[in-house]
Amino acid sequence: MSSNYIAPKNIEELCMVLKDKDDRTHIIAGGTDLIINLRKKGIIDYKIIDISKFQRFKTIDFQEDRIIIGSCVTMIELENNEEIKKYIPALTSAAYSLGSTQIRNKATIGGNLVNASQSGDTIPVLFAYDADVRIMNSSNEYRYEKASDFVSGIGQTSLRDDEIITSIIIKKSDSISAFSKIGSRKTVTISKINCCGKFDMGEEDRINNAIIYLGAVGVKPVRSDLIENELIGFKLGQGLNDGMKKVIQLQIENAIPNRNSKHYKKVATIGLIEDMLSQVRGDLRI
Amino acid sequence: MIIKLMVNDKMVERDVDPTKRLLDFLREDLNLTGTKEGCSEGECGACTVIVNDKAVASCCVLVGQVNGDNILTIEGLEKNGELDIIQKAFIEKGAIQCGFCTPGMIMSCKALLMKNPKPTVDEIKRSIEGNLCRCTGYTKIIEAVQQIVEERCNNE
Amino acid sequence: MKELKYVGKSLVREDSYDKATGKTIYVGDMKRTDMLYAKLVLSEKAHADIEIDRSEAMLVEGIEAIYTHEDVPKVFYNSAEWYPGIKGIRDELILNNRARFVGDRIALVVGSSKETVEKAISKLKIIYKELKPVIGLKQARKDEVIIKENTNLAFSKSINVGNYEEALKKADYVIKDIGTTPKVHHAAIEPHVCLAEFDYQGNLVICTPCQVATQVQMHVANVLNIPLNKVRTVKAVMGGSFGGKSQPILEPIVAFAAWKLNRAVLLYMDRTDVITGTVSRNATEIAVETAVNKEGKILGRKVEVRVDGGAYNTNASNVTMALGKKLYRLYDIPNQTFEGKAYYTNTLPGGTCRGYGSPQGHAVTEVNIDNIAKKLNMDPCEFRLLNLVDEGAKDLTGAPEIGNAKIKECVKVGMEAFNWKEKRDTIKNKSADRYAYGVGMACGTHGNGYKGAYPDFTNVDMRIYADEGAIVKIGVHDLGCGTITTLKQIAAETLDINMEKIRITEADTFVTPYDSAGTQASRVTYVCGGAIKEAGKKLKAKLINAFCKLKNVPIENVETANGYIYDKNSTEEHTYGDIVTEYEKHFSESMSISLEYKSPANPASFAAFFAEVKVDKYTGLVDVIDCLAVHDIGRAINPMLVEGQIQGGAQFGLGMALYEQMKINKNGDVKSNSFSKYHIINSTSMPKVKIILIEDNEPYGPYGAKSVGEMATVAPAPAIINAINFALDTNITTFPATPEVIVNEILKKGI
Repeated sequence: MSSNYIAPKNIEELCMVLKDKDDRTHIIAGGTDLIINLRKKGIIDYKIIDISKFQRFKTIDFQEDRIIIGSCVTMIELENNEEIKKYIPALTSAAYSLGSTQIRNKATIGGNLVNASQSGDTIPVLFAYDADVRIMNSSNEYRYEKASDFVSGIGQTSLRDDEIITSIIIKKSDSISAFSKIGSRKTVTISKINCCGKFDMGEEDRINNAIIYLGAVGVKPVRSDLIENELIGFKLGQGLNDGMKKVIQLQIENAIPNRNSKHYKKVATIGLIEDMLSQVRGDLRI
Repeated sequence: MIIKLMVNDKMVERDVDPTKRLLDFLREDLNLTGTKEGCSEGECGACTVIVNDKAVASCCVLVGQVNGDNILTIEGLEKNGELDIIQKAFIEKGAIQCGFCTPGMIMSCKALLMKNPKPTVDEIKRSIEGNLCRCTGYTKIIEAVQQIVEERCNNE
Repeated sequence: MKELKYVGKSLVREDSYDKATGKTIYVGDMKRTDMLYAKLVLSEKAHADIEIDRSEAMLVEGIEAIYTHEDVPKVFYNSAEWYPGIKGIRDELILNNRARFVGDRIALVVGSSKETVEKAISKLKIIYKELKPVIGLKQARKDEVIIKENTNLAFSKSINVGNYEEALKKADYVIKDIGTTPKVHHAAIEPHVCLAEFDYQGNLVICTPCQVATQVQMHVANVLNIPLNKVRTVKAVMGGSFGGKSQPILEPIVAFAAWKLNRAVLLYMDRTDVITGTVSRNATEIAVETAVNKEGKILGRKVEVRVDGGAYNTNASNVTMALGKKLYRLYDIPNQTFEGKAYYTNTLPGGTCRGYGSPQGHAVTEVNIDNIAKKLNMDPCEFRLLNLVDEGAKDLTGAPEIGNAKIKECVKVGMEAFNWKEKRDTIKNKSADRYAYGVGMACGTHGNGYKGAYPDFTNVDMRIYADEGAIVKIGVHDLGCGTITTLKQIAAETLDINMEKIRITEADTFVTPYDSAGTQASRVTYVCGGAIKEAGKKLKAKLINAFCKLKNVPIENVETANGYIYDKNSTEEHTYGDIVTEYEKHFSESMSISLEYKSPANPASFAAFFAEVKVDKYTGLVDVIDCLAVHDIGRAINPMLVEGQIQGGAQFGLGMALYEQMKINKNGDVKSNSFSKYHIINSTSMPKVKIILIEDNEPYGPYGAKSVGEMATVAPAPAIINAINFALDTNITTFPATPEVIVNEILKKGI
């Protein structure tokens, strides 16, 4: 094995290399961000732990009450998985809208989370579903953390040097959900703003309960209680009324009061929420 | 590190720095220069190759990551002197101008047709959304793939 | 007219086989024994004096040389000059100790491999002593910080026809608009790259995807102070240029390295280098006011243009004047004043870019035309039809005649095919709460070469071989458009030889005949194609004459077909090759011809572009649902290639309308320095472009042909903006109309 690159074959080997991991060592899952970033920063002297073929991290396990998604599951695998579409439609949609076909074939859910980009597309979905992140350290010990706690800032997580994400755990529910994003181009574009909505539906297509996370309007996705409250009791067949539009704008104003981009985002978010709701309507055939 | 992989149906075994990009490995070590570098960040698709039946940007993959995998590059499409149906369609339809995006573009279309023999126009567009072309406006590229689909439908 | 065998046919390009199989060798794919790799170090500051400590970097194993300002000849040049007679302002050096933009060349690192070179670059210690940068036209005009000697004004000139002030007095309305166009990255998918080496004949060879081989030769010889005839520029396969590879950027410095080291050196750039360290389309601010009477006739127009020339003089004068001159060739305007000024800024220099001034000029004036129509309550097509130039129109500035102008027909045919009237009347009914729909159109014009401005001629050598094959030696450059195929069709047609039997050179300054201006200014089909037709005609006459003499046949009995020549009253057939050999034997002369062809004219090409858009009033994103391009092309030599030019040109234009701009902040940092931050239109955003060609024979063009490649990128952008403005009832004059611009306009209007 080359000294600057190791692809551990089992947990023991993985633990061993994690023990020696320093800040020059990078874990590669898909690699679609890492390789670019190393080159952009002109970093030549580095070591790689390659987990892209680590089978244990590549499975999606549907248990009775929860879904365990391996950290190395790719966007294309999420996008094409019928069960994911059934239980976490927003994740299907987020995976589908991330990057290009070539990128979705390699990019992983674990990578997207650890990168903790402000505009990461799967992150608001994981927040909305209150996902748990399962983290392993070099002693083969595990800890669990809420995704929303795990991500602490732009490019920042609670992951320690000798730790690795093994999987993401999402509780099964009857909730319906959707994801939408706005970039500067229709596809293959970084989100200027994105959004995940998760809903419990009641009678007559009314929303009983709503969880809304908005991405790229803060260091990490922000829960949007104003919009949530407004949507409770909302009949999906309707369009957004003026009151709701005002609330959406207020939500953005609160999130980024001092940013120049707020003027655009206040208006655009109305379209974003509308897109997200229309996806739900489509799924529910309303 | 010794890397073993299938490239265009041939077993390749090389002692190579596993942190080298697949793109550089193909171009420098195997002299397969059909695969191009246009942006170095997975945005333009000129470096697209097929790894285990999936289109990937070879500038965003390390050669260590594809150890043991099956790689198909533009050089591997021609079989026994016969061009691939996509290559023929690109040529006939005038889908090629400067040609720099062409290998990646063809590989993306190849990956699409491997899993979906009769894609719709939207599916074609979607499969090359990560392949930038500055010459053609994509129209003739899309028409080339459509022509293949039409021929397939007519032959049924 | 005799039926044509090759011209007018959608024939397949022969180079597409190798391109489809990955066999084509671009410069970046070339390898030479003992070849070195080189990469430029580009300034990270917009305006700064530079000191570089290279000691640590030199220690990297495999590093051959690191050059800075100290090491290179201090010969100033202007990369935009393509022959010595231009005598522009020469202010560029191959390496600088003062950086004038983010991306300016400050060092060159040469080593045994790319990894070595990149490792050494990471170990360079660069000290920037920062100076205040001048960013944007507003700051440049203030002249508070001055980049060059006395003023930031780089160029100033006006053009006057008639008397605009008098026209103003007679006007019923005067419609004013001010607009801006951005710096645009050419975005050829092949990054800039260049190889320099010595050949066995002692030439310093520059192998480069260039547009003007003689321009490269001139600058290299000048900078290195070596004779022109020792510098050999070989035009390599081009992975797209669009003007971006027209001005030599890498060539002089890589030639210097190869010359110093006496080794083959390959200089490569990555995308960020190309975006920041080459050239861009010039940004402009354009103020236009148009005087009209209530009957809808334009009485006069005044156009003031400010051009952001960037850090070096390059094409400041040329692009400004090119922009101005085009404004006199689309509408019949008896009184028009153009004032053009170009300014230095600490941003990347301006360079040739597809359309060269036309896209900027027409961008704002075509929006203004729509605004006039609106003011007059007229349909914008009808208003244009009252004012567009007619066939045989004169250019009132005294420039060459406009030729067989068919722009009115383009508009009329387009209106019909696009169902313009009905769409214009009804489309807004589709608009609802969120989406607004609109249709819009615009016209544009472009030239056919340099006649009237610069020397425009080309030399061609043509020979028929003993095996019926022919070779055409001419200094052209296929930029990826299929130029060689187009020219072959012309040669095959005139000589009556199968296309497969004809070969045409690309420029190689050691081998090919001289060409005065290279592959730019939309001159190749029109001028070089004209030269090939002329040479072919003469060579064929020579062949027929030889046949008559050899076989004693009266000329009126001679017929030819596909490389065969015969007496129509005889059953005996002769190949061209037989005659070539017999002629040489009996008359001691070859079946060849050399001629210098001067361009006889410089007519205008025209197009009208129609578009339907769907505007998302919340997100500001625009969907171009449908579009139609109608081109006055004279004659399509190869319709398939022409369509390719128009579709690609539309992609360029749609990008300019909606997405594309170099984002440069107040410090001069380029924010859009990669393809993830500089969006060009991708497949999912690109509509199918419908095309109608008006083929009505341009008198001096080969088989009636005139230009299309640059023309295709002019009208789409303003057509899209006009459609958006119609949909929203706004007056957007900012290019590109990004989602932010659109939403901002909507907010201003309160809709």
